[in-house]
Amino acid sequence: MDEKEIQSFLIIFSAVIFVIAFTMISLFVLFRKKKNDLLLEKRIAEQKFEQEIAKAQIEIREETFRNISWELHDNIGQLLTLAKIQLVNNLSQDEVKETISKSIKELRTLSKLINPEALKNIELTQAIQDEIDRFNRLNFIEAKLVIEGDTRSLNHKTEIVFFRMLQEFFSNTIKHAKASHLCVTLNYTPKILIVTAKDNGLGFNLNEAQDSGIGLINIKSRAKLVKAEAEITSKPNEGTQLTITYPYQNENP
Amino acid sequence: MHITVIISYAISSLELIAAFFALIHYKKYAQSTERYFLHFLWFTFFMDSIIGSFIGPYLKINNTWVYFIYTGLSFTFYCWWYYKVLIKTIHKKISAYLLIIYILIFIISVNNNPLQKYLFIIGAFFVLILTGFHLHQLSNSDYTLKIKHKLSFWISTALVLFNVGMFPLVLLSDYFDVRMNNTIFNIVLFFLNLILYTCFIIGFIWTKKKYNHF
Repeated sequence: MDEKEIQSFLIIFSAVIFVIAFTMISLFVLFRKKKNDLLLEKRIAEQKFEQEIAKAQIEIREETFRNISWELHDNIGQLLTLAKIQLVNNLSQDEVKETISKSIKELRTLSKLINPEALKNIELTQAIQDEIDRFNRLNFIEAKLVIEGDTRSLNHKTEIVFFRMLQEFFSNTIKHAKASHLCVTLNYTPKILIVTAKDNGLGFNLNEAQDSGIGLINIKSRAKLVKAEAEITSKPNEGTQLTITYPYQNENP
Repeated sequence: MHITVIISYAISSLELIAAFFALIHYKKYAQSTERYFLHFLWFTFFMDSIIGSFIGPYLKINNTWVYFIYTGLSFTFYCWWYYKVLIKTIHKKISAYLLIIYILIFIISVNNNPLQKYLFIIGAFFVLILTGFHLHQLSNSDYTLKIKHKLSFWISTALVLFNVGMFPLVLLSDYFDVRMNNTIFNIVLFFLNLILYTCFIIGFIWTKKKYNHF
């Protein structure tokens, strides 16, 4: 190669190197930036998820406190008042004894329910069963739980969210629906879990439901949070039904 | 031995090594459209090295025709492959148009010598557009997190670097009048081939099966 050729070689080679280096660096910067953006996005979504779970947990606890106060006042309080009246009216000792032992029994059941360990490790079927037992004990409503298929435990967070959704539905039923029957079904099919809760209360027109609107949106957004689907159907005077479908494959590892 | 001969052997061995790596790691990308690269790399070795460098000279086939056909087919293949992997409708449409335009140019240039010279640079330009689309698509997907395991990323990077380097090489060697069968042109061409096949080989080694679904 003569001098002129070497010169042109150097020019060509450096031009090629420059273009390639520039492209490499741009690609590297682009992909690193996109990766960081994506990571940040994921972290924010995760945080939001954790916050929502914590919120559901707090709401479950608040509801529990409300129930305790209710039960103390309406059930055990009433029994003790009855005992007092029986004493004042000088009724037989046996009758007073019976009333008092009944209230002790109620007190024991209540204390078992609000044991903090039980609150922390909520298990879906057990939690629903406890809730339903309570409804029956206090004669709020005639409730029953039906389990179909082989029970399997889900992700703990998913169970918390499901329980909170059902709790919200129950409290709506008791407060507004004036229902006499409530039936909860957990259907564990091989691929999906179908949870249905049904009351025979007043119901409402889905299109005109302004008051319960917020509650419904809440239930739906909670379902979305754990990748489940919630559907609420209701007809005036025929009752309301909540259906949650959850494919197991959506479960977070 | 003249240096251009050594370089042509070096490029042939690069093609062979890349084709071997493609074969060894075939299982990892057999489910995706990248699988056609196995055939393509062996085809490249066959055309460029066996016919172009060894058989051609014995049979006195004109080398220019072998490379002309190979260039046309390779860019047609790239355009077709991008048509397969691009997802957005607009990208798919553009890649289909580019593919058709390229085939037309290829057919016209059979009887048109001056156009043959530009066949490569037009193809490089088309492929650059399509790699741009594909890298854009990858950068906006979840693959960004583990991009080094994605084979199509490495293929696109290889093609971008090779073709982007080809532009100054072809334009400047025309300017200095050192095109074809020239030592300078061949050294730089070898360098570009080295980058191209190194990226392919890294891609085949690093890729993981679960990242190659489409």
